[in-house]
Amino acid sequence: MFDLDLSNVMEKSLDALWLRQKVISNNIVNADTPGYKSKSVEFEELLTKALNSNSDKKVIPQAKIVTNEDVAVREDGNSVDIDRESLELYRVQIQYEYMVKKITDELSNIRLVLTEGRG
Amino acid sequence: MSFLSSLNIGGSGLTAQRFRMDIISQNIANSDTAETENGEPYIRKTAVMQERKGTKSFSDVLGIKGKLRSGEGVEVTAVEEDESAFKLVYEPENPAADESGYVRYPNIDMVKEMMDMMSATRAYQADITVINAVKTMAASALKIGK
Repeated sequence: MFDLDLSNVMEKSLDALWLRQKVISNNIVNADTPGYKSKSVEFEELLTKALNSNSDKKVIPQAKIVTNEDVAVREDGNSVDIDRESLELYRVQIQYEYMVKKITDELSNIRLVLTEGRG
Repeated sequence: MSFLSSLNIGGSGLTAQRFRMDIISQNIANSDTAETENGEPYIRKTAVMQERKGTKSFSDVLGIKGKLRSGEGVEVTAVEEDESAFKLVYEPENPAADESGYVRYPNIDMVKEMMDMMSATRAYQADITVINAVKTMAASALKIGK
């Protein structure tokens, strides 16, 4: 079928970005919660690893939530850096928009083929 | 993954910060309340915030590690009283004064309350930003294929 793998990867990326947005939101909302440790989402590294693997069947990895360990902790045990999180929130927004654009382009390519170039 | 639960994260932040603001306002309003219903001066209150965990999944119950789930925002779990000492002011003419002429005023430091208020305001703004980000992303998700 139509390059199913690519759209699969894009779908999983969208899911990962949405999860990342959720985790960042949770970090920002908990910026004043004593003892809260900031979390982040791992996906790109896992995807690169999966794509570079030598196995025949490449499996798209699940995004993983990890607690950031080696970051500065404030006196109240909280490790949220609000500036960093705001920046990441913008980054994830732009990435998401970009991904949506990419999927839309892909779909319009398929549409172009289906209508024999007259669409 | 649902749009709604992401909005709830931001919303829980707004609720918590607004509640915190209520407590701060109450502290400031009562900064001179030397006598409350029980005869004691007003005691400074603080909101205790905690991360709100989502409902437990099956693997959480079974204790399977590795799949750490995102939290579900923040919540105020308790309102605690500040146990620091009251301020003693010499005001012999005050009806609330004790036999040596001292009035016990609440343990409220105006500067501290102002700082807390600013921090709550900023946090509230940050939560609004979060909600706007969710909104933008959800709106662009609706545009897939258009």
